[in-house]
Amino acid sequence: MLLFFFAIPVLFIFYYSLGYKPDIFHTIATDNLSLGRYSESFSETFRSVFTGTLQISLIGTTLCLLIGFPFAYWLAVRVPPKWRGVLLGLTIVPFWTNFLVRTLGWLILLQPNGPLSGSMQAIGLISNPLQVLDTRSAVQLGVVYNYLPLMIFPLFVALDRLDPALREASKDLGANRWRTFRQVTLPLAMPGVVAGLLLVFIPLTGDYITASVLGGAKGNMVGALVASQFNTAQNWALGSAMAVILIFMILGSVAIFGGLGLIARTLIRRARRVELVPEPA
Amino acid sequence: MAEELEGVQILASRAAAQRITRRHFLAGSAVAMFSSSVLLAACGGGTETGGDTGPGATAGGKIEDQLNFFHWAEYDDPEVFKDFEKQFGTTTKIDIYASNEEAIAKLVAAQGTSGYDIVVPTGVFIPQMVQNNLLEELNLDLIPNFENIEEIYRDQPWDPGNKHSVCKDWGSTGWLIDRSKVKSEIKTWGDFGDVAMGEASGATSVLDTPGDLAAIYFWANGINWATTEEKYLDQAEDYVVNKLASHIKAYDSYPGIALTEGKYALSQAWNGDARQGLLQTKEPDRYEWGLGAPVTELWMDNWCIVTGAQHPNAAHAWINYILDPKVSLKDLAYHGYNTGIAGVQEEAKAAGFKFLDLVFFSDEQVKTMDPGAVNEAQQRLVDIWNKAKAASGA
Repeated sequence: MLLFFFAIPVLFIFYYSLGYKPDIFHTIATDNLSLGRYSESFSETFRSVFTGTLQISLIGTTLCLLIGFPFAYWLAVRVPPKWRGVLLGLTIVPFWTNFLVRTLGWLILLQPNGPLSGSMQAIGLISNPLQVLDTRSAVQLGVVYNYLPLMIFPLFVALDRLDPALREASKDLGANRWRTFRQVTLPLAMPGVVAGLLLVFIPLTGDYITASVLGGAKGNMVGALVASQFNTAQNWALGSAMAVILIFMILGSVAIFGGLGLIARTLIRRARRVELVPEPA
Repeated sequence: MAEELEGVQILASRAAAQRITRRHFLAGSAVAMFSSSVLLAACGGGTETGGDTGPGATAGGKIEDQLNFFHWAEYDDPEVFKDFEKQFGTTTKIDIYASNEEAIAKLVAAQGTSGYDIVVPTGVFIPQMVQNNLLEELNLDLIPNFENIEEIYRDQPWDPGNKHSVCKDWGSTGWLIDRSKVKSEIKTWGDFGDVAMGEASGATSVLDTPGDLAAIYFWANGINWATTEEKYLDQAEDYVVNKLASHIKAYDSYPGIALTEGKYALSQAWNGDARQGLLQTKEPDRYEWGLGAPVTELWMDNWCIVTGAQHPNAAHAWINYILDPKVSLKDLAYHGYNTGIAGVQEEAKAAGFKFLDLVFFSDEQVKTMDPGAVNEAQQRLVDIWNKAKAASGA
């Protein structure tokens, strides 16, 4: 199954990325394989758009974590068990409707003469119509909204599995709340945090719908660049090469941040290592 | 009649390239998923029955009970389809595409087994479609209403003698200005650029197609926008990417309504879309439409029959039906573009349609319109467009 739905399409993209566009009417030819499309892909345009995209997805992922963690913690620890299912169910309500519809909902909400702008002006928060559409802020808002549940679920699962007895033990041993969180809860929830970060960061970096709907010219993400080669230029070879580069750049980013995380963990562990004093012989 | 038609103020998207409204985008995306599966199914079916039916040119006989469109989203009045179904006992089915390029890619891939009967390409794409054997020859004997089309909309440069195509409707490109925000006068594309980089900086939208973006420079400077010359393309790139791009708020092919909702101060727009904005706003006097000058676009979408069409008689019957003046007027009320049928302008006026100066153009205006061409510069235009977007987003 995995082979059919994942490996084969990706292999096709690799194969196509070595081809070329024969004429304006055909999208791909593979009779003469070369790496030419890759050098075309590595343009200044691609680099600058990728940098912008990375910025949006890093900020978006961080915001998702900052908002998602307290919520997941509250849901897993504070909320009575009988309400958990309902509340968790409510967080997936947005998934009942299409991704695009949800994003368009924000478009209507954020319009200069839309409901949000109107009510903010009515209560005197702002004096002019809200001009947040077609800005980076709108993009950040949109991506956090769209990807937040993907952060909450793995965090919830990780925190839910955490035995409350461990926190009690920590308290009994004299740790305050902050220390318990830092040294017991957080390390044990780490698998959930990592899963959440990956689940949000990877699709967010490839997403361009949210950005193009809410960000206008400021929402140009690298996914749109790839899509334009397939849809508008009808140059599948170049589009495939860009897609392959994007795959590796995302994997590379994940590897770099993962590496930094590991180093940080090692350092923290070293600092905290408890030296067991050997028994006097 | 007038009242009834005026009630329908949803003007269709029309399209020379990638043209999706917010609304249509939804429909299109949903349909796109289905259409690819339909396409696959059709490919399978087509190979089985491919040899049974003759090509469109030899058509003439019983009208089939099915007609499959490969069409732009919301481009005809649904009532017109219903009436046609009633009159001919033919079921119509529509699959959607969002750009000419997309439609052509699918037709090329299907190689005559797409299962579609009718496709509606923009004129400039037709020569290569014919070269690639994607279109059947029309049998004009089966389309007596062809006579209703005004002389000037027949026999176009992309299809001499209307062998493969018949005009569906046509339109042009200009700008829509919010006069409460922009005071400067805009007479030409040069002015448009200056105001976009001046008074309307950060509040200007341009059409989201590679061709129309670079064309702002070409039209302003008397360069043929079908140019493939490196020198001119370099100049256009310099202007669009290094000068104009940082002032652009959005790349939006349907800015009409958004502008009247306060999103933009100045927009490059197609006439039908600009009119849609004017129709829905409560204060149309606040906005000003200008047709592009000294040169601007002329696009014409055309009824064509797909190679290997399984229902050629029904396809001809449809084209003939839609060229009937009454039907044409009804359709025009929906999509808001000139259908080129003789007398439709007077009929529309008599029926009290609003903002007709955005639907019908004078002969002098038409003389300034240039259809352009689709050629090997396309990849370069896409590159310029992507560079401009990168510069705008930075």
